[in-house]
Amino acid sequence: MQKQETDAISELISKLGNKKILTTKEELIPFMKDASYITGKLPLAVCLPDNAGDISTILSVCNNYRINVTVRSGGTSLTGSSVTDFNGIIISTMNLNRILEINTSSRYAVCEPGVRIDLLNQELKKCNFFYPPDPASSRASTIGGSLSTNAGGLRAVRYGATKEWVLGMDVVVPDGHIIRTGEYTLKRSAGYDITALMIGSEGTLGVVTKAILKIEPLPEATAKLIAFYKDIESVGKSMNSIKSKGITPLIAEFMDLGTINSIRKNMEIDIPEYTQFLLMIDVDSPEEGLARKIQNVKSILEGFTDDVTVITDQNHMDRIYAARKGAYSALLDLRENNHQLVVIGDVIVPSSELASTMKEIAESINNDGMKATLFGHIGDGNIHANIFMDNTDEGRKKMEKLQMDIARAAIRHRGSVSAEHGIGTEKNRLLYEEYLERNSIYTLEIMKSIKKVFDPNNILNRGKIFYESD
Amino acid sequence: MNLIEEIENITDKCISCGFCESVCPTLGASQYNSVFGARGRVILADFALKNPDNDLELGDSFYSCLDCYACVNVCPAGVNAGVVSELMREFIVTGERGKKNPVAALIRESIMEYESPLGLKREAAEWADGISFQKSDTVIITGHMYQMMPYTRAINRIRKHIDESVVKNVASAMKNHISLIKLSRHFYDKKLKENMDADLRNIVAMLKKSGVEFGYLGENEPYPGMFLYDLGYREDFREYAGRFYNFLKENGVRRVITVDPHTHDLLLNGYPEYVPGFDIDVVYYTDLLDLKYRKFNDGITIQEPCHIVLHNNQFRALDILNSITDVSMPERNGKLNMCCGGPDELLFPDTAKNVSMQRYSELKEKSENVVTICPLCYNNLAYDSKVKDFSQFVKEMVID
Ligand SMILES: Cc1cc2nc3c(=O)[nH]c(=O)nc-3n(C[C@H](O)[C@H](O)[C@H](O)COP(=O)(O)OP(=O)(O)OC[C@H]3O[C@@H](n4cnc5c(N)ncnc54)[C@H](O)[C@@H]3O)c2cc1C
Ligand code: SF4
Ligand code: SF4
Repeated sequence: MQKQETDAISELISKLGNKKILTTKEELIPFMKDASYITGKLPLAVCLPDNAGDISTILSVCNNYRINVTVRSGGTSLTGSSVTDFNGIIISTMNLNRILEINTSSRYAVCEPGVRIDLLNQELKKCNFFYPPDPASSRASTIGGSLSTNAGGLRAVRYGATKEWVLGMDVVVPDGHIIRTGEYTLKRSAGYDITALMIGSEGTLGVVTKAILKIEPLPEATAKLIAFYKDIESVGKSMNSIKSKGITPLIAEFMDLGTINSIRKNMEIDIPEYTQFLLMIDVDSPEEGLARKIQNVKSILEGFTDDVTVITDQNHMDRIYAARKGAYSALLDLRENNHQLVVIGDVIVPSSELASTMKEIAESINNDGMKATLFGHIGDGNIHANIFMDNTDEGRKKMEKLQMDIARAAIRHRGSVSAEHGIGTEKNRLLYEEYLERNSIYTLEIMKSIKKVFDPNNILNRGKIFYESD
Repeated sequence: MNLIEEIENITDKCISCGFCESVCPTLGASQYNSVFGARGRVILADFALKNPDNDLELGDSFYSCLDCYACVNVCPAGVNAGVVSELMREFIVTGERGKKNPVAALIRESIMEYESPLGLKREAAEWADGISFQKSDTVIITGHMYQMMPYTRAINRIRKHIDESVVKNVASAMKNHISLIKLSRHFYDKKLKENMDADLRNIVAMLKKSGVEFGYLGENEPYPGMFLYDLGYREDFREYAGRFYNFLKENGVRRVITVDPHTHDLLLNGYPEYVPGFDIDVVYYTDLLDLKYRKFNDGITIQEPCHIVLHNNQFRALDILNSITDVSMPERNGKLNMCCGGPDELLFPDTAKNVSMQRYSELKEKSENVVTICPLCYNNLAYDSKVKDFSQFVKEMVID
């Protein structure tokens, strides 16, 4: 360790006490991993603050000594964004984990960043409300992490991603200032929208210490329709038809056969032999109108397939929802050996481009000789390609090539390289490719200038979003 | 497969998703110091085994695991961080790497020497004074669990005032003077001992009233060796369990009635693996009760024992409680059950306390009246008199 590093850590210990600053190797090792395939460096120290003041102290010490800082909450990132690529410390915000207020009449909840999304929803359910962003990792992922990645999830087709659900936040910026962005109000037009800027910034601009979130009443009555197909074009056409008839489902998911097979048992439904793809649509309505709504959607679906199953039993619906949320996890069982990894891609295209993009992606998978399955949020055009990667240099190269091929397909179809997981360090090159293709590298330059305003010494989450060599 | 391969075979499956951290009780109780949580344990184990030239202090992370198995029930890859911790303790005990825990080593000595972790003998059988038992090939096996609680509580009261490093030094020194462990016989929580003795007497009374014929081996009943098993002394456990089994056979025992979930799980699942030809039937006492009960109108909530619900064992206790009163299950129940923290009481009392406080408040959200079905749970959660052990609660409801 260099002198300035040891000095900084001694100062942190003297200011916060040694219980909040971990320095032994065995305590640091677990922070080298998040849910991605990327292993970070051993941090110099890990800080466990439990209030915004602590975080302000940590950042000003690190800013003075020019120590790199990585922020982390649930550590479920799929892009390496919560591990460190540079010598530096990690701040975990897991001890800021209180739900501070739930206000149903003004429709907001106030939370600290370490609150796990499922826990918030468990509390909200007690007053018949919910917080709609619902990444499949919601059991473990947190408010802090999901704000910073602009997480999406299954309900985004109706409710949008996280950015639609944040009214304001408290943030500690790298020089230690604690700032407020936004307010408790559902509308606000008061200068630059720093709240929006913070969302999806992957911890590169500041540390979120409190968030004011919008909440919604739980939908009244819901039903699930599952349609089965031989080809992806019919899936796309079904979806377009539903949307163009003015219906916005609660959830609209598709799966290919590989994915269906991995969760077949847990869905507990009959699946026709010919099935290559499946479309899962959740609809809602006031109790008295539900039957009519089901019938409407069913007849649209029947224009493109012979087989549509309707499920109205809430418990069965919950089990299918859980199975779909667990699809990525279920694919782990299809690994050929323990050393194989499942790397999940995250491109998005406009819904109308979905079928043609999917065809190109399937061709790329074939051409690259890789094993991969596809599922995604068809309602918003988000395709997750789950690539089985051998954990060797060669395996990694092949996976990266396929990711690039898929990204290019998405870009060609007016889409983006990341819909909801963020860039992290994993997708630096893909992000660059996207702006290059759009002839707009200058957008990246503007982003970097914004980063400089918040973080002139470049200490926070270095290497995330923008590529930087060590 | 050797031990290292066995561990790597599990840790290699982990995708570091962190789902297990959302249910691991020791993580929140350790201020989110990840090495005291499920994912951290798996990552540390994997790192330690793949990087043999390290000087890591491996003990505390794995010794502090409660073996509750909450983690495996949410793990998408089927990894059991509890089993990883058990195997890592076994690995540490081999002395190849990592520091052994001196308190654990002291407990081991005492079990091997005195057939009791705290050197208890007569004290473990006092509860039965004045009760007559039948001569039978069925015996009640207390596992010494109810009896040890008052002693561990008193020891922890003393420990609270002593620095952890001093505790470890004293434990190291005592290892060579193991008879000193018997001093612990003089330190116990009197009130708790009265409760625990009464619980055992309630169990016996209910079994007798149900017409069950059984004996008791009194102060000769050896401790079944749970700590050896849990603390990683698996080879010692193999030898010890053999001794225990032979003792039962010499006394003509064919069936044992267990009264706590830990001993039950050990005899049902651990013994057959370590004692060749283990042929003794194991039954949990609640499953033999055949009684009529009064109604309890105020409703209760319950603390389910991890060694039943999370270790895939079964018992009828919940059916009995449901027949007596309305049971509101706590938010985390069944396969998502949260441990009471009890298994950490001797080695990590602060962690045990933090876990139990959290669980206590979760239970109290559901009902004032809490019923536990395990002496460890009772000992850890009985912060007020409305928390009762199953044996006490149900006995009070039995119609004479
Ligand atoms: C099995 C699985 C399924 C998933 N499914 C989905 C899905 O359906 N949809 C989806 O969108 N994502 C999904 N993800 C990705 C991931 O869970 C999300 O990105 C999640 O929002 C990350 O939250 P976290 O708390 O784990 O954040 P972390 O991993 O800890 O951090 C993520 C980013 O946020 C930053 N950060 C964390 N806390 C703070 C803070 N307090 N202040 C500032 N920055 C902070 C970090 O620096 C990092 O850049 C999935 C992941 C897994 C493992
Ligand atoms: S839940 Fe399973 S796969 Fe995920 S981190 Fe824990 S042990 Fe690893
Ligand atoms: S067994 Fe329990 S204490 Fe141990 S790692 Fe799993 S959840 Fe945590």
